[in-house]
Amino acid sequence: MSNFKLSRRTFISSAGSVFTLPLFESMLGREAWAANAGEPRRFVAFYIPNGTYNRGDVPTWYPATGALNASNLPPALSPFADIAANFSVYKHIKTSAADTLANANGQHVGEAVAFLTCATNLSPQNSFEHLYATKIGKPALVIQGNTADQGDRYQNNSISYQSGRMVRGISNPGDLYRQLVGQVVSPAANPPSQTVANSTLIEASIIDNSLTDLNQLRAKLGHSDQQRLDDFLAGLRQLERKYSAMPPSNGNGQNGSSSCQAPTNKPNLDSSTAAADSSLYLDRMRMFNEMITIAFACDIIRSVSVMLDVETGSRSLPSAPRDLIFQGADIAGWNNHLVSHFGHFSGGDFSHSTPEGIPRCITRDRFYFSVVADLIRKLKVAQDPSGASILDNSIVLAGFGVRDGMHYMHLSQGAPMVVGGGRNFLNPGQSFDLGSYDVADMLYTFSKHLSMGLNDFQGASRLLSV
Amino acid sequence: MDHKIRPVALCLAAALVLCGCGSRPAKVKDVRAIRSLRSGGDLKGDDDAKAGIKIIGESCGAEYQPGRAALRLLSHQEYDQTVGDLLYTQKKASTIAVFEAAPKGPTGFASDTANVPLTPLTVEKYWSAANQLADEVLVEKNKTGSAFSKLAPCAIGKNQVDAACYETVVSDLGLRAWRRPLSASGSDSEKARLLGLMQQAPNFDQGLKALISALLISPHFLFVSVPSEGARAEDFVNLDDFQIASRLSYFMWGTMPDEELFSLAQNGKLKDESTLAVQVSRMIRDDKARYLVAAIVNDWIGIDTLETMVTPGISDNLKRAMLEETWRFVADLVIQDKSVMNLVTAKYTFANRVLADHYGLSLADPNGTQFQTLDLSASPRRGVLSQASFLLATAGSNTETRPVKRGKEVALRWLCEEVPPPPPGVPPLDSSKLPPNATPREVLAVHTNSPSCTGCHEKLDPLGLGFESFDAVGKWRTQYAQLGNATIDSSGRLDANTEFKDTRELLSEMGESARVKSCMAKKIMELATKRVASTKDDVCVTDVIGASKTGTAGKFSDLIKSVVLTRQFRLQSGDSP
Repeated sequence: MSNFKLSRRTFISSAGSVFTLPLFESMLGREAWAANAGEPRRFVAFYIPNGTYNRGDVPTWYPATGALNASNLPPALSPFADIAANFSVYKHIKTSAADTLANANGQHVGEAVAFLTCATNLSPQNSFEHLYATKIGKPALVIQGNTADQGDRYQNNSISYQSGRMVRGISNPGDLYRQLVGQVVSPAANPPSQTVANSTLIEASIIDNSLTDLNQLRAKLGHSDQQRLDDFLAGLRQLERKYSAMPPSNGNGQNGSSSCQAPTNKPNLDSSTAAADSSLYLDRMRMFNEMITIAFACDIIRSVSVMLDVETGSRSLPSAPRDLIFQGADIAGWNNHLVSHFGHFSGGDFSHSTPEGIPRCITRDRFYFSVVADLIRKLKVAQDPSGASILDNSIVLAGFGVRDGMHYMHLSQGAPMVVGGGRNFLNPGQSFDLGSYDVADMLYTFSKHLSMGLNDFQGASRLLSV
Repeated sequence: MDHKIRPVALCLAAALVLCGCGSRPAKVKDVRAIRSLRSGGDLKGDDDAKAGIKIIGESCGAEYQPGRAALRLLSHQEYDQTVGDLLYTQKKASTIAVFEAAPKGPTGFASDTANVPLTPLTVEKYWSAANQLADEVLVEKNKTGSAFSKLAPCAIGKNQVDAACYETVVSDLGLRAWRRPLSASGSDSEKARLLGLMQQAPNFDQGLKALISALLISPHFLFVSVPSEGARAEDFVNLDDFQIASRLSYFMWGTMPDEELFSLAQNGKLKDESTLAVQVSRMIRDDKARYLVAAIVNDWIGIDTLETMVTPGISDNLKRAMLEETWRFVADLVIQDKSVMNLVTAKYTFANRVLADHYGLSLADPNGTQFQTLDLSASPRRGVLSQASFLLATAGSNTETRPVKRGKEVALRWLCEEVPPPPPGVPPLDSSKLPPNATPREVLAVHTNSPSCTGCHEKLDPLGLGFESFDAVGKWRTQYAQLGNATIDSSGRLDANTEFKDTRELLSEMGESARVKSCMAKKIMELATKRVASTKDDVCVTDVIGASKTGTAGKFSDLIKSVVLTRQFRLQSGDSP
């Protein structure tokens, strides 16, 4: 049976005459329907650039091996205190691919490219979330927490790769809102028998339509005018790529879950300016979390990657909420890059001995982990049709692609990882020492839980007992 | 082709003349208050318009080349005004989406967008603006007179919107947004694709939003184009009625055509010269003609730089008065439909007490606190070249004049001279050769003795020095107070055959200069076509219009008609090899 799907263009051109018909069955491959059977499992990866304080196995970051609870969490993990039973810490896990890439290309390049690909080349085929998205026939959502584009495609913008190319993510919650608002239809308000327009297509379809306009106009123009139009084309292509971070859904926009409710409030953070405003960072990321939760509940997507900041950007961080500031060391005015180097860059020397550097790094970790914890809480509350918590069918990975922010490369320390959710197939609430495993093993293990059908992941095929 | 101006060209007196509306003392309170100043005028067609075309044809050849305007992006101002008219919104989209400042094009006009960079970020901002404007339409949709009710009257108060309503909204809004009817034949037609987008949405409201976003992010909206359809460079294409409507409305109003222009275009009437002439008369009396005023003030006279220029020692009141004088002057010229030559010859201006005191002149109503007409008959001041705004903007500082800069600005803006940038490695002035208290003329004499500088300075310096009787802030002077009261020598040569003994005579000569008149016609032509009018046929056409009594010497609307009826305006050369 072929996995036939209509292209966006075909859909658009035919929609004028068939719009009263239910759209989704015609657009959805039969294999995808089959794969969707049962309670869906989801995958989210958060990436914090450039490591953290991770030297000497000190208790500021790594909890003792064993069960986690609010009282034994290290300072860096305080945002998880109320959900200690819903996440685990993977300690000492190796980052072999990142090390290989870093040795050849520099730390920032290596860690970002390898985090979800475990590839040892700079143009990896598909990162983990895209592999999963392809397998289950739904789009992957790619989010970037920082709008800055430093011009270096490897270092700064995304951990998402598709067909050897980096996928830039959505940074404006309004863009995601517009994709969801028409697609998410409350089951109560709209019984399943009613025709539901798949409005996820609309944004991408509009860009598609403009590209068609452009091509038709271009054919009528002389050479010099065509060149001018090509500048516009480049911009449209970039918008198209942006929407390819969340291509048209093959789902029907509702799965019967009471948590599948259309977002009611339009984000008030909807502009390029707002997306670049550091002071709105946490608001934006929480808004993204809300929409991820809705998209999961409606089974529009099951696969997400989020790069929380750029690798070496110079954007100043906002002040951290008071309860996240560790030992008085706020991150306001600092940038992620310098903080991750323990904030002591001076005269070309990164010394880690000054008093505020490590506390500031912990504050920064708390700042980013508060975003991760926010999503875990939202997923915990949201329910699948069975009434199960969506979190229990989800893997929420958050971590660093490099062993430590100082780049001392003590191989024995490994990279710290936090894994939330997955109670139906993982054992959350534990601190695991995984010093003999690699990130590739971890992702291979996840692939098994997600029924991705992989024989290995970048050559790794050991299963973690987590 | 003989491009010399034939004597007949000088006899255009009868051509293009519509009724006189007589100038009356302007009482402009605000440039935006144009409506209050509308003079009567008639709207009858003008058969004499054809005479004007004939004369240009006789001078420049019947098949003179129309030239070619490149594919053009809407300027920020045009974008704002167009979406304002299209979507009935007061929102400034360029502000909402934070459009980046755009450079002016080679013609100097902001609507010449050839130099505006079109980066992916720019496109993203257009996308953001499109979505936000589309959202805006749904606000207060059920309110009487809402944008929604105007854009989709057939959907008001209906739970189920029928297919006919969808089709009507797509066709009507599509025509207005893209300034031409949508292609409607076939399953992949523009209309079918846009209908498809609307119908993807879960309801009519969201469909309308999608439609608006799609229309606004399309190149058919963002660009003004006249596709050459494969025409070679030596061939030309006639603009169709809708293209003429757009060219006319973006020339005179800086926005999309209105209902009447669309209606005429739909009925194939805009290729008719008489109809075009009537439309020009109508359009110049419309409020939207304030766009012409702004283009002349900001881009042609070029005093927009003054608003951000740091001018210590000049009070805000005086600076505002300087700017307002010029705005009022140009608004009066356009609204009262006076001759464009008033820009350099007018013996009147508009001033308040602050400005009159600055000029050392007396107001007719000395107790009046508002702007009023100021008679300059007994003053050496003539037109905008003697207005403080222009003089300060071209001085470059408020402490001392820079004759080269002022000369360059006069050459560029009023003689349409091409002024190349200075050569690299210009040596510093050797001040040891200068006498104590050297005047600007003496300084420049040293400067221009350098062979590498002479070529340009021979053109620029006499013009700049010719305005030396106006100090940096536009006050009249006869001596350099800071140079031991040295007497100002503002004599010079306008061109090979025209000498002037002082500033007063320079202004007078400029008022009579054929080069100035041609330049004025050229400026209007460039504003109309959004391209540099530099081909030999362009030059011929603008020379003829400049020399005609109904061109630069006639009413302002006559000059516009002269331009609108040229092949430059209504035709387009191809660009295929």
